[in-house]
Amino acid sequence: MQGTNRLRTDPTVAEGGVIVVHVAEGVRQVHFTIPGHSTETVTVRGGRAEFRVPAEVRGGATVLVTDGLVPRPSSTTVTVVGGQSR
Amino acid sequence: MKTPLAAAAVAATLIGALTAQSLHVVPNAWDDADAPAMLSVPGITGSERQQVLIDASHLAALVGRDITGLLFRRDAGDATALSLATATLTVRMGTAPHAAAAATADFAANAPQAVLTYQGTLTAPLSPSTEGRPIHWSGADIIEIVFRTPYPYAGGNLCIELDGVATSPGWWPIDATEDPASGSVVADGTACGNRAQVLGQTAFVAAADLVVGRTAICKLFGEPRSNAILIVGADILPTPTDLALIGAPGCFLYVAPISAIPSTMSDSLAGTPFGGVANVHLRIPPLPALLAASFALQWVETGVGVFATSNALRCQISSSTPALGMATVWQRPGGGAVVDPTTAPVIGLRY
Repeated sequence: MQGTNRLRTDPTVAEGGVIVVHVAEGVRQVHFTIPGHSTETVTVRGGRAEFRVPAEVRGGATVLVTDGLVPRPSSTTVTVVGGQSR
Repeated sequence: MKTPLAAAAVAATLIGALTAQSLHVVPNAWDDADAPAMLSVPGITGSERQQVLIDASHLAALVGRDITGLLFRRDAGDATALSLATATLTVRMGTAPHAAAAATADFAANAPQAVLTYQGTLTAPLSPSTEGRPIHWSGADIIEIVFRTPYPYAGGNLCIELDGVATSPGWWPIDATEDPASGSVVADGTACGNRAQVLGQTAFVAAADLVVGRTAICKLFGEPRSNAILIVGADILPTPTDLALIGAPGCFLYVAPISAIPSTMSDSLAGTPFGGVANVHLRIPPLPALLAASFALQWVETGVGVFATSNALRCQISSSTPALGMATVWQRPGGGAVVDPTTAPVIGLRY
């Protein structure tokens, strides 16, 4: 597990896998973006936010995660790995 | 006739009974079970000032008692081993002049006569993995604050203020409860500008923020350090105003302003495609008349060489009021206060 501040997740996810982010703060949204691909906003419930990596995203891609709070956002990154389990 | 040893044993038992400490967990339903959410103790994961308001109905067992400390239990949602973390913490307690559901963003107003009960170091212990074992209100499963000055609880709504400064922060989530009340949000229209080409939608607010008494955190992703204005209106315009008329082709105004709230975009979020972000805290008053009420939001962004409009958001406030009987008010350095009557830590009150 890794992360900064109030977000925590596994550092890698398999292609097409689900990123589970633990959220230890009162925010109800977490934003995921895959540069050059897509951005998704996910509702936090029960201290978790889950995001499935689109099937077309290949190993080596990076998923950026943030709570979008200023002035000090909590954020982390997840690396997509090819053909492996998380 | 008792022997001196027996008398001493009786005396020791009596003294023990008189000094033994008890624990009252709020909300009591989560005494032996893991609640659905997780939070952090201020200072342990990052610097933060936080108030927890607790309605009197949760505290009947404590009337007339001295509260001697606070406990927070680790959350079961993350079973991994947790590292040591430390903070400097100040705890104040006082009577809240209103119920938790009416908590305000004004810290002083929530506890006008709070008294200092603890000031010093706070330690979150090394906590082994919880795989295959229960979590207890003891040992390495808790963060404990032993008051220097006990707080005599005479009844009424209680406010606990925790002002934590991180000294060696770490990930140490604590158990928290959550109210399912939620409004709804539907994105409408399209955003324009450079960031819209990367992100698509640029304006956000969480449906779960749209609850009476809560602070809705409205967000715009845009160009770092530009100016941003949040437009609040009653509804989406039947026909959007095409801003090509003012030299902004592809940009539309979807909301007729009732109010406009200025803000500023942050620096780039670690150089990510998110760009910068602006937050406006929109407090939804704790008024029954606002249950299921609707409104609309849109952002306009301006700066040197920058003009952009966001998508619009059709917002509807929850039709139910939060029923936790607890609320948190939190503020981080440099940020605004957030009132949340839908999330609160599970707290053990030692007495």
